[in-house]
Amino acid sequence: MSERDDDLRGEDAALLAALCDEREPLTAPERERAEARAGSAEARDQLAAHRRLVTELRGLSSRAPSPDWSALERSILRACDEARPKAARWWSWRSLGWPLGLAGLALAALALALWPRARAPHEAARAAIAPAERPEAPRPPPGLEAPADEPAIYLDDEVLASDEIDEARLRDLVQQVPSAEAITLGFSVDDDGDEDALLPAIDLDAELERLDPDALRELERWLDAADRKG
Amino acid sequence: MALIAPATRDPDADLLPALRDGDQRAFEQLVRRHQRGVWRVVHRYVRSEADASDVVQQAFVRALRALPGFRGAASLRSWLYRIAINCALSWLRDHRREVPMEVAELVEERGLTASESSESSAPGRLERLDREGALRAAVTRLPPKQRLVLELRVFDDLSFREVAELADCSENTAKVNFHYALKRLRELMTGAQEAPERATAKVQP
Repeated sequence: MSERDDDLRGEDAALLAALCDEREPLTAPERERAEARAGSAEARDQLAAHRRLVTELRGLSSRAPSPDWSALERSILRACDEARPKAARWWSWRSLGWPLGLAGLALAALALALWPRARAPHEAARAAIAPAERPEAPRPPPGLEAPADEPAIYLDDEVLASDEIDEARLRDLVQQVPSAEAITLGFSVDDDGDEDALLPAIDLDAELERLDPDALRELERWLDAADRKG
Repeated sequence: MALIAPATRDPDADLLPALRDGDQRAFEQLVRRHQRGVWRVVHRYVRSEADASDVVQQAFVRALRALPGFRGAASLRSWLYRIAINCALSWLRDHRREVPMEVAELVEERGLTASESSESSAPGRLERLDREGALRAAVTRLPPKQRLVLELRVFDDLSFREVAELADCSENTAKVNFHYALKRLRELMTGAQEAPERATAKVQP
């Protein structure tokens, strides 16, 4: 250890440090090498000076102040006791963190997988019991809304005001309307139920006038035959 | 040739399983074993005895909470000291403007205790105390890494392996730093001794 220390290789410096420290165990080859490195008288002096310095420094530490160790120990243990429940809770949560996280993920995945299946039958059942749609009520043509306080009577897409209708005239009109059956067939069946005994249901004269001469002759013959039959 | 230190077993290995299980007695044992060392480390940073005790308390609480995560890659002691140093550094950060060097601490810094200061008239003792004060001051002037390695090795008696764990370097680098710390310290002390002598020589005709 001389002015050549700057050139000292790291390993040699480490060996010399261990040698002058005197507390670091060295293997036999390491000790030989370190002593060879400090072979000169000058190096041995330097080594001795370093050892004295280390001893001096260790003396300083022994003279350092010291508190009441028992009181310090009690205060440390008290502080740790106060911190312990919190630490335990943190501890347990920390150890449960992974399983809890995985369980949460698994539950979420399961819920996502089952949700559409659970929803489909529910919607089918709801559709099955739902009432059929009502047909929409007919609406009056645009612009023909009746007053709100009167029922509307429509005739040929026109609203008839009820106060404009003459009841006597209406009754006459109804009496003039031929029965639906007569209008449909033109003839009615007589009370005996003989289908051959057909009689004109309405205006017989007008019917006769519409017949052509051949038909008239035929009719007269038929009437004569009927008379003969009696 | 690489300097390979023989593997040393962690002396606290026996406590480790119980500590991991949260055993209170094991933790009390850990406190009893290490409170002095932790206090010394913290006191070098914090200086005030009361504050050092608070920081030590805080360091043990933090260690209790961090114990389940301790993997055992480092020794339990160096792991504990690292927590303590971190606590001390964060205390210093928080109290940067509140750390006046009180007279009592100055006395302490120079290696004087109350009993010694009253009998400090003896010239031999004064000289020794001056020397110790100069030595302490010289240690504070070392580069940070060299200072850390030297203090942990000499004052806290940690193995070079533990020092390396705390200083974030290899064991060999820790030893090299230790070697250069001693060399630098000797230079500083020689300079401190020569300066007054040079001053005296100038005054003389």
